[in-house]
Amino acid sequence: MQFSWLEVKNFRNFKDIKVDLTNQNVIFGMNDIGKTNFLAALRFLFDRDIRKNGLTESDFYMRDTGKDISITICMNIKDFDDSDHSKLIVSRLKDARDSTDLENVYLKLFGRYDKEEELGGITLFWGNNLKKMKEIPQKNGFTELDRIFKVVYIDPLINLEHIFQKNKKAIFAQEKFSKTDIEKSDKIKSLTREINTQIGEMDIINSFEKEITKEYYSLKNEELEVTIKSEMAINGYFSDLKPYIKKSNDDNLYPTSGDGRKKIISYSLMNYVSRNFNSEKISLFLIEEPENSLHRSLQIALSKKLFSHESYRYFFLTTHSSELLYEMDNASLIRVHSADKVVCSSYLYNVGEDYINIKTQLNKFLVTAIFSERVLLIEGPSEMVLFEKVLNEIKPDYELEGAYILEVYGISFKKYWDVLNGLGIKVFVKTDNDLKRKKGSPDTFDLIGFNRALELCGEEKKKPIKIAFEKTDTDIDKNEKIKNSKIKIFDNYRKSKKIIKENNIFLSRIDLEHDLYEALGTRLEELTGSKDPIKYLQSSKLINMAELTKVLNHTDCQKIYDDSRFIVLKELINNGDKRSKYKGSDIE
Amino acid sequence: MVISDQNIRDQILNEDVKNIAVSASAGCGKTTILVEKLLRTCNAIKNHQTIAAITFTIKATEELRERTNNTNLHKDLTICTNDSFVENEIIRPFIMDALGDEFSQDFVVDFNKKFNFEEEGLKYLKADKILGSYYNNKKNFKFRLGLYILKNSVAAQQYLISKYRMLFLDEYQDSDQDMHNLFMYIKDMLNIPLFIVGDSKQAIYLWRGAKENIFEVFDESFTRYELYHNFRSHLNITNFANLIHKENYLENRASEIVNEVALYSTDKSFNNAVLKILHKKEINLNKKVTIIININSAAEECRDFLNRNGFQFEFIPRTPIDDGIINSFVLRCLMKLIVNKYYSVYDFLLDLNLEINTIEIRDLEKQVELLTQNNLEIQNIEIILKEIADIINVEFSENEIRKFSQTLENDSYYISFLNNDSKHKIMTVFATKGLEFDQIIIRASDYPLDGIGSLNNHYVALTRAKEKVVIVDNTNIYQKNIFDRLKKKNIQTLDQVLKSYDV
Repeated sequence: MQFSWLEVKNFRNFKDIKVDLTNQNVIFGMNDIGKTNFLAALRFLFDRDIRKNGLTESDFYMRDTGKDISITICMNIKDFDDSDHSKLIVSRLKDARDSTDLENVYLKLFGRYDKEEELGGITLFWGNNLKKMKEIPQKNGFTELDRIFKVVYIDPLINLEHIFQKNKKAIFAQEKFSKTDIEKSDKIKSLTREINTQIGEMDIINSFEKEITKEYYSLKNEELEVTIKSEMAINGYFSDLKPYIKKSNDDNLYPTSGDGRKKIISYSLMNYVSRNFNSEKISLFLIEEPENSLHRSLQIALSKKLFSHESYRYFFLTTHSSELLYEMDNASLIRVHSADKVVCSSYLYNVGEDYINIKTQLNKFLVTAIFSERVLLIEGPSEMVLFEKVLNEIKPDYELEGAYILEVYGISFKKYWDVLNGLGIKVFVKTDNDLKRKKGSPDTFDLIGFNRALELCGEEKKKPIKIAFEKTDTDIDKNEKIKNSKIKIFDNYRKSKKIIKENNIFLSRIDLEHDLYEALGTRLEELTGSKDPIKYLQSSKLINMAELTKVLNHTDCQKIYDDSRFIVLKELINNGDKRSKYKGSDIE
Repeated sequence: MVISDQNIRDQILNEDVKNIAVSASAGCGKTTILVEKLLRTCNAIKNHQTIAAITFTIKATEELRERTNNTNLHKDLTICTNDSFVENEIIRPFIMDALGDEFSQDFVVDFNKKFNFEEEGLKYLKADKILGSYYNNKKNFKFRLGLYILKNSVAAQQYLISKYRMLFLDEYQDSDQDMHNLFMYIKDMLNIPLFIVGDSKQAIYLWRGAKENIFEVFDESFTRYELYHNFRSHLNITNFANLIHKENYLENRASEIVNEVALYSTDKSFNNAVLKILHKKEINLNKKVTIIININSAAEECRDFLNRNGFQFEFIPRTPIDDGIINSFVLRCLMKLIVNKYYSVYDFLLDLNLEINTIEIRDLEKQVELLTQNNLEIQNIEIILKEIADIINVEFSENEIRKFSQTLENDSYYISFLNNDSKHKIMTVFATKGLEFDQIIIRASDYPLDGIGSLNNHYVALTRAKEKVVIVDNTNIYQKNIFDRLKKKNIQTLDQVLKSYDV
């Protein structure tokens, strides 16, 4: 079984959203944007404990109780032949399903406000045809839906005592006692009875009991006695059981009071319970910000557990933590953000075969970016070092305002481009106009820089060009010819350049170093201490760039920032608003 | 108690989930093994799936519910009649999917709505929302419809596959061809294994169209078992009966000393021999004794003779409607309804597995009332029987009507239809079907063992007894016949299986 999509209308702060789903779904966004409400929508749909209380006025979008709430989810069961979960769903749906569509199943919650009752009534429907859904049968407040799904809600302040209490009975069920357990249990019972007898014989207890009973009589004339007993004896010795930590080589017992520890035990308990019980139902985990109280390393460990498909097969997770997403794959990323109204953008993220061996690395860079509003993709560390310096001088709070610079590090731009755009995040790219010699053909060059940009725009790539080299050409001559070719290409492909620019991709005429030289002029010679600063910067790229940034002053940075060749920085800061008042570039 | 076929029972219980057919005669604990297997299979299911236990009669459904109620089962079993199964698991939920929206889920089942052709049946179903039945008893509209829907609705197929791990079918000998076709489709095309239990010799509902020998038609996809240990009779008795009559029964399991089967050879007349035997300690007169004599006149004579000599034997005659006609069971129940004040119309409905409405019940009672009048002419009886036949959806042949009239007119037959608790009885083997007695005395001369009928009767007679069988032999060949049969099983002497005396 695979979740397919979710649609929410008129519920809390969602007017009308629809997101793509997989079985591992991550919801993220700024604080108070509505992540909790997203989970709430799912809880109303799947969790009887929430549903039974009905809807209040505040559950309706803008408190407009005139507009009905609808929460619809689509599940795909085309794996019917191999999946017990899909079979479970079919076996409960029975006649709500016909043969016109055997792959999809829809669940819908419908909420209508009754002004007289001052309560929102909930009706549930299901079926395999959105136009012909049947009301889900219910008996004693349990719907057939509740026989399929078991919601496990894990809140950020996960309460160990509460979870332990709730599941105690099932875990330590009488039916599971071994023979010796039964004997021991009987023995414990008689011991607890003995405890109560002893307590009952204590003078201090007796006198208290008498006094209290007397007081009672003075208030109400009733034939009874107040008596003091051990809770264990009344509720069974299991009522008294609590988990403790015991370290090896240390006989002391430690309370599970540290938040981190409590959390880990709680997760262990959750895993145990969902593995051993409810094997007949589908466990749906709704997890809120599990990273609270967890050290980074534990967050990463939890990430592995979550995305390993074993214990947590179906989950919806809200988070602010990048570490939690290091291990993600085949996940639906859902970004909750707002323009004037709350929007959810979803992207089905697949690491893909090409990257599977470097999954963690790929994810590491990506996951920090997805929590931003605008992202600039650059090639490598020398760009990073330069841009960081410039922005820290000119706009030091650029990250606070939602901008982020992401090094692509040899992983293709397209991967990040697709994910970030899919999530509604504004993406900018700065890249060099590279030419690459074709293997085995020394005078043919691929326009890799241009084509990289064109690929991102979804445009056709350009054919390779030939550069006429003479036998007598030296390396310097050859490099000069290559440089001239770059300039020629750049100046000639006007239409392509326009498209690239419209897509927020900024291509250097030649490369970063040349851009820098043209922006700073002779000042660059001064700063690098070299008559050929380009050559200087291009050898030992990172180190020399780093050296350079050490000596750039505020004026230098301002000059770079204002230069049309570095307009991408302004765009990044100003939200890509093309109608700004700054100078147009000569890259027309 | 040592169960002689325990190893077979264990094998059945230990089998994996696959197609199994268990045949066993009455008293062999068929239902017990079905229940045990059902519980074991159910407890082994780790996922959401469950099991359906499908019986033929409402009575059997109730019994099965009772027997599975007190157990630690944490699953919901589906226990219902096969009518109920096909109606609620196939027809109602998926009729619209297979036949179109003009058909409704909310139809009413009315067996009295008759038709000859399928198109008519479908018309009644679509337009009037009534699911009726064919005039021809051999065709079962409900099950044909069920099979059609199943074949044409993938949603229906997926529903059954997703829900059921295995189906358990009880009393399968009473199924008709159309029921059989449906269940075989489920087994073959949906790959849901069947555990089928039945008794090839016990088909009661032939009159309702049950196909004879349906229990014999299983192919190699079934693993077949036959249970022969009889919980009613002492092991030595069933041992004797099975050695003589069951081909697969090869081992002599009698105890060292056999007290339970006694063969008395004599020159005397049967009656005289019996009188002598009754005076010995062989028979415990404080317990029930039944003498089985297959000819009414001889049986009556025996009763008179014994009662003249101080005994109190009651004669339960063979009636014309006991055997040899398809509707024997119905007519016997009808006679019970007429003459037995402890047998109500509701017992009648339960025994015949009928569901009719209150108006029809009133009608039935009215007709039965008419039959209690004295001196009815056969034409009148015919008319009343035809009315009754309509109400309960049966057809009586001329021959059957005649035999029923004979029975009705002669009140000496009535005793066969009353609850009878007398300790000492004389009856024919045909009247003993389905009954059991503590001790029986049989006439060897009744069983020449030369044809299927005679062999069958011999087996039935022997297996009526719980504690003691006494065979009175004044023939010259019975002993030899028995001996010949035993030799085929490598048993060289009679005293390995019984006690011999002269009297």
